[in-house]
Amino acid sequence: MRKALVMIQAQQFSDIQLAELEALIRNTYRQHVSSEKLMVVWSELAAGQAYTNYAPSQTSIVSAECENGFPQEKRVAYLTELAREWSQITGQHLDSLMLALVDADQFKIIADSTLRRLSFVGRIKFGLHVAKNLLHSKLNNTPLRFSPDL
Amino acid sequence: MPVYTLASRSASNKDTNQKIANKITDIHCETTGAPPEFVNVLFMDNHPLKGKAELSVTGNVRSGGNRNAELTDKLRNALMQGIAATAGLSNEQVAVELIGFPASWGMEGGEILPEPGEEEAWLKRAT
Repeated sequence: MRKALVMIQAQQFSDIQLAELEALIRNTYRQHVSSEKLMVVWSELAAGQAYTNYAPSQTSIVSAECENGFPQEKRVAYLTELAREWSQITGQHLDSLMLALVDADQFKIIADSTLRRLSFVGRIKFGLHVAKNLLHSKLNNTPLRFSPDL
Repeated sequence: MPVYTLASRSASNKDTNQKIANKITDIHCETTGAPPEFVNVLFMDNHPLKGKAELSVTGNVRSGGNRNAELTDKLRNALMQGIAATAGLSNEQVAVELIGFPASWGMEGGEILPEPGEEEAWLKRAT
């Protein structure tokens, strides 16, 4: 299973928009990157917890993983379509959208950075935090979304 | 890009976060020559961190171009010292990890990111 990590501001999008964006991420990934199952994880930052260019941020960040050595031409096609469709759904300016399609080995280093800096207790706490939200997502058939605060 | 994520052992507050975000943006731009429009700083609260760290900083930055090991070390040390001074912590209480990846893997403003050192031409092209 591959993963996509999405960082947005809390209350930035409606539930309907979020569902549309998740479908967009999955569809563009399937079309341009891989037919492998994709786990999409939404992290929602509270006000005062995100800044861009010295000011409170409205930036959304989407990073997905791909196989190592993925062709650059296909990468550009995926990112371009995702950017265009995302801004149509949200009305966001493209300057407020950061996208990345990262080779698997490097993606693991980035994704694991959260766990690397935690104590043993912190890792357990983080695991429970994710598990609780994953269970909620499965039971309610909704996107996996949570605050990055523990 | 870059995206700096700061995990703090306790709850953060907006005033301090703004000051730290300003300091990180200053340091990143002064050290690398990147424009401030690129710099994102995100805060996460109540993370039980390992060791003595009160703040743990992970920076996802573009690699290649003018970014050699010397510049990366300089950036890491400047961030540690600048964040510690701004947050009222000792240098030992601030952990900094920088993770680089190719600019060509990322997109902003609907365009593939420029190589480090080629931002000015990219910004002109994108406007």
